[in-house]
Amino acid sequence: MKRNLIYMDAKSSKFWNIEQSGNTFTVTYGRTGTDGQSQIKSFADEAVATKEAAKLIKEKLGKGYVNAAPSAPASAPANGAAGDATDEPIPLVAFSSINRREDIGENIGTFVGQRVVDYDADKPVKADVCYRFRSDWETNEVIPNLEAYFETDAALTATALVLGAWHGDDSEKTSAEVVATLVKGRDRLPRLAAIFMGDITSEENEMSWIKQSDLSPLLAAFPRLQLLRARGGDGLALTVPQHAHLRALALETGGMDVSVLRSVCTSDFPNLEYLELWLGTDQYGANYSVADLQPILSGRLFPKLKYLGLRNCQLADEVAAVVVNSPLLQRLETLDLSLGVLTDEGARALLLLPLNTTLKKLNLHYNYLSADLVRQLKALPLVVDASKPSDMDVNDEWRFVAVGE
Amino acid sequence: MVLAPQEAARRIRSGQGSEPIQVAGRLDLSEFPGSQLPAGLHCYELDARGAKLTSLPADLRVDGRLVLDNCLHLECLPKGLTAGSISLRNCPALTALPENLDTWFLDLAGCTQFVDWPARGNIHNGALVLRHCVRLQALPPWIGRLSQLDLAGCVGLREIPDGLSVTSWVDVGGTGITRLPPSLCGAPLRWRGVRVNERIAFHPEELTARETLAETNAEVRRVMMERMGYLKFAQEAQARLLDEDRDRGGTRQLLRIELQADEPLVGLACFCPSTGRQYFLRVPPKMNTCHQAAAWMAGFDDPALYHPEIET
Amino acid sequence: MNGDLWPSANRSNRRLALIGNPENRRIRDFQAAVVALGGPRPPCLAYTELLSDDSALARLDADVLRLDSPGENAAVADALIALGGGPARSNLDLGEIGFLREYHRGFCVVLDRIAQRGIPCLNAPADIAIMFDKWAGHQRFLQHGVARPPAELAPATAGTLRAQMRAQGSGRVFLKPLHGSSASGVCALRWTPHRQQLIAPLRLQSKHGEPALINSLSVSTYTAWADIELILGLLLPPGMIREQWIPKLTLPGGAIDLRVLVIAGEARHWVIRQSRHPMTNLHLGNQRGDAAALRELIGQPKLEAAFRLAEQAAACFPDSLYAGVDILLDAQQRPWVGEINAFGDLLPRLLHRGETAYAAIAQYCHAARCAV
Repeated sequence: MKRNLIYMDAKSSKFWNIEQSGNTFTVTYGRTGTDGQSQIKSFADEAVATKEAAKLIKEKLGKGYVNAAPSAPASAPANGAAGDATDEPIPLVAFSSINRREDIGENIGTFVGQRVVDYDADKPVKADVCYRFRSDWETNEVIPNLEAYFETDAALTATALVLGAWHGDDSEKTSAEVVATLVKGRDRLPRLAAIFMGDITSEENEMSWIKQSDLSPLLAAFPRLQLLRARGGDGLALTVPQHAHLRALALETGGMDVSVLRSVCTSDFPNLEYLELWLGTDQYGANYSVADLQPILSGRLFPKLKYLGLRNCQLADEVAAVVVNSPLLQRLETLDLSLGVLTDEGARALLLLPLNTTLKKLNLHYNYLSADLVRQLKALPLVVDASKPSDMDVNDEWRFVAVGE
Repeated sequence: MVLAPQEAARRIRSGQGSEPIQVAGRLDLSEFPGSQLPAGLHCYELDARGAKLTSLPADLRVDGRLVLDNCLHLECLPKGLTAGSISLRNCPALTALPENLDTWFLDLAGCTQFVDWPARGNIHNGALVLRHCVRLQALPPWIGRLSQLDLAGCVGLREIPDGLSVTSWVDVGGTGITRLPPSLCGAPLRWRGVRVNERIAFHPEELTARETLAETNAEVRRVMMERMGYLKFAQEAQARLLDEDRDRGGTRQLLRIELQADEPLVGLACFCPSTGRQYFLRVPPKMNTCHQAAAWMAGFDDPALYHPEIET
Repeated sequence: MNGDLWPSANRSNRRLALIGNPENRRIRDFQAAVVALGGPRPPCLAYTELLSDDSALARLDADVLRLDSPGENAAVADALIALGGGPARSNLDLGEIGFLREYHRGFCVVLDRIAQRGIPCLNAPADIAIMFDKWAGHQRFLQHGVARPPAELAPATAGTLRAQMRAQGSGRVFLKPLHGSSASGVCALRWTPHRQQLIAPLRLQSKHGEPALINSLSVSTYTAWADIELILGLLLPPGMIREQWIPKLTLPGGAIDLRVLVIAGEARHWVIRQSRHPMTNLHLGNQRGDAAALRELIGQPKLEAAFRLAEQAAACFPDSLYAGVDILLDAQQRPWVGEINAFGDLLPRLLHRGETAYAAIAQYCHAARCAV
């Protein structure tokens, strides 16, 4: 018996393997890309060993580990030149980034399982890390640094890039120039599979102040893109929402403009498996209603969708009341309504989730649920995360989304 | 012919061409002055709020949202109309919905003449809003599971058919509904947007002034007073008499009750001269005399200007 | 700290006295620390007494003084404000921000009187006066080449500040009262031509129909210019510095800075202060951050660089035995001095080489006493 599990989020990328032989099993674990360390344990007989191994595996799965085998093979790129055999599908778990409210305050440490390092023009470029390009408060070298990076051999094999604060000391500066620079460098980034446009903490700029731009040129320029993640809703657009191979789209905003939602609802992403939308509050520009989510929830779009996140949402209760009626639940594995204003009203609707479907996980981290409703939700045959940050006041008359206080 | 939203809107507004038009995004035809849209229109979202439309083309296709709010002349909708969500707020000429209507979200708030449901249709999964559909007498049996059902102000409604269910709440404020069907058993209730329990909604005769005054949530307390009847509440709560005089109906009293964390309840208890029934009419708390209160109700800020022949 | 604190003669019988607010834990804890080392419990001259009785200082019989904070005592605050030219009774509500300039002026008068008395102090009164003046402190750091965020004096009115903001387009600055303590009155301000945001640990209230600012443990965000104008209308006239808001390094849980206690030239006790807000002061209920996580992120050499900068900052005040230095790290992990605090040694339960901060300072007195 052998199981290989992995864990990935914005901070770490780890593996945990277990192999049983007779009354002994070996556990090997560590950071992705290292050999890790091994422990061998022996038991009275095989049955005990099997039982202990199963217990450990369950424990790991409860902590968010998933099977290392890719959840779905990436479809072969249509373009023959780009379609060499080395294209590896990014595991579904690696598309997620912010799992906890407190993660919002910090820059990411890993991206799609790769270690993130700030690009430094004075240091030799490495091939085994994911570079982040960002300005600091004194200088803004993002564009020249990107251009310098494009000239290196490391760029040719890079699969992931992170763009941090591109605005320097001018918070009015949009991401347009960065997008244009990436598009111009497309031939030097032939293997790019994941982009994070906006690893920007509130210390660098408030999420609702980040000036985005039309990101669809990135979709057109990078045919092997699997993940597009962006932070900041102001100016955000996907005017041509098309990509034959895109598997994951994550748009983090403090308030989503309905036009962005409309682009998602009229998109052509036939291979999308992961859709994470931070809907936000009207204070920060959100102007959608739950009815605007209907095309997504109808199930007509995204036949391969496995993860749906409608996060940081002021209307989480209303969303929950409609989501439970969605045909999408017949194919989703994870439903994520975390970081929003979810109260007992929404939770009561979630108790009506259809069971015996593919749904395995319900993420409700950061919520305004009473202990009673948490207990009832935990009784569902799903992995339910109903945790709260310790400083949350459920009884507060004012209820905020995670990004919006 | 696939057109950009602005170009499509321009063509339709100028009446150019007769080719079928397809729009990938939101077609803005708000305040459209014509009574009819061209045939062969297919768009993701159509916003025709405030348009002078009387009907919609039979072949209209809207994938996402269809917004027809404030279309004052809109009388009928095409058979089989299908859209992700349909908003028909304040369409006073609309009396019926079409056969085989299919949508997730339907908003008919303020459709004061709406009365006829089709024999068959499909409204399911989303919210059904029927606020102030005052002529509505019944709900059809075919409505599927909804997220919310808002019936506030549907004064003609007496019951909800069994089989209808919601995943969240039902608003029964101001309706004649006296109980929920078994399929809605235990569903959270609202009274014009205020969360209430079944007793407040359906058994107001059991409410007492004591428990009403003890309610800490001011919104709930207002609903409780409304449900008890202000007159009964004022009598039970031992209101303070601010003023008393006589009009044609008989004795009038201006009463005041202090409420915690809310402005005091001040109102005029008076008899209707024609029916002899006693009423309690709430007035601003700054009123001191019956005459002043009656003047305020008649729309006079300065009571000196108010000299009615008969105060009704 | 220079040599004349402990004159070479007669080292064995030096008597230490404290000046402070005796009800404050700072005094109790420090007295306990001295006693724990086997010394006599040092007496404390209360600021209330010092302020109400002209001869109290003259009667003080000690060889060495440790001055502690006059804060958290309304009567002392009132007396300092009156001494500094303010009204006899400030009528400040609990936590209300007001008369910062008068308070500071009054405290400087007290410091001057103590200096006149001629008893050596662990931290020299003249140093303390400068440490409590952000602009003077900034200048001193610049003279000594200590890395400080760019700063300038802020204008005296909100209108002028707004004109500067407009001219600059967009930006982000910290506005700090010249004479505030800890995070009191500190505002983080950022703006674009279209909007503005002021984040501060204070509440804007109406007091007898006039706007008033109350210190608050929770941080509020104001986005309406009308509110911001009211707040700055109260804070700018007595003087503020306008300092570059350098984005701080983040760790799991939020942005961080370091409070490093430098004793006798050596960086000793330190904590990571962490917050989801721009203000990282521990007073605001923010957490102590994870030192191991920081070490892993930036590496020991960069941490050492931060400590060296703290020592360099403390060295700008050679007549002071100790100082709490706030070091912030930018996104490139370079250190900058945020503030220096003469009373920055209140770090309860934090151990370095097995002793608390107070024990370390008391130990220094003790060692000096015994080293004949």
